[in-house]
Amino acid sequence: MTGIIPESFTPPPDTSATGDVMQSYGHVWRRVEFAVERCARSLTDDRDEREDLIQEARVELWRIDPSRCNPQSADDVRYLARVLMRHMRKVASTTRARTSGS
Amino acid sequence: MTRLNPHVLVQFTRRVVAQQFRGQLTELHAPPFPDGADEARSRDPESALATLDVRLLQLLGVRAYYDLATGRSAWPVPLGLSPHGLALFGAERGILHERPESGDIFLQRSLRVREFIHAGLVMTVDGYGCVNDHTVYFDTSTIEGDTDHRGLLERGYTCKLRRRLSPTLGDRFLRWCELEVESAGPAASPLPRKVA
Repeated sequence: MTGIIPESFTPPPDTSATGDVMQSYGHVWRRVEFAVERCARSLTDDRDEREDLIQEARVELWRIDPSRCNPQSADDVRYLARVLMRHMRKVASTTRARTSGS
Repeated sequence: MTRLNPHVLVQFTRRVVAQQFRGQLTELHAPPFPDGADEARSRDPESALATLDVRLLQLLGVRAYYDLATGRSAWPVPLGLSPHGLALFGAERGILHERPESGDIFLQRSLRVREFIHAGLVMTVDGYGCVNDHTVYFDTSTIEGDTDHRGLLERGYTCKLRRRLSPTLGDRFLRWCELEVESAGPAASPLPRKVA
């Protein structure tokens, strides 16, 4: 699990600029990326499948809206990583079942 | 008994935030007791317990519906609540909705805990859609306190944001304008310039 690094914030320019909550995506993803990649490695040795699972985790993070997780809270980050890993395991088992069925 | 016009708040917020508050620290302009709040309510120590994001909403609400003649504000939402407290208040009064409208207070649900953790004002609803066939979302423009330009929690700034909110993920909208107030006050009158 990556550590929680406090960072300074530069306010947006004092113009008509409007922020976008989807900008939080990259910021939050960096906090869980390591755990997600490690989980993907543990689920499959196949590189393509691994990348597919990581992509599934990215889509899931986008779906659940990263801004509802506080990246400064270790509990929140840990919980989010667990949610994403659970999702990857579910996708992996569904894919495995489908493959063995065909 | 009558109801307040939410567009008064939206327009007031648009002006005040654009001219004074945007990109500034929320705590510098949103005191625990907003100027113009009912004195009886201000004396209640629990009124100071509002979180920073709710303090901004209180300030905007109290000022937008401030009546210079009576020296009182018609803002109908109690002071000193957290986002979760606002949700409980809304549920009790039957004004918590799943579809946003301009002027609503949005309540963002936490991923980890079963609570609402953040609140702001919906300025416009720009669209809606669905992710993975089961997660409904609404694209909104919001103004909120205690955040940053990325919409992260507890960042301390007042910002105007494009935010995606999802009732499927537990987000709700407090339609405070459905609350009845004693008189229309300044709801239909021009914005109070002196308190802005």
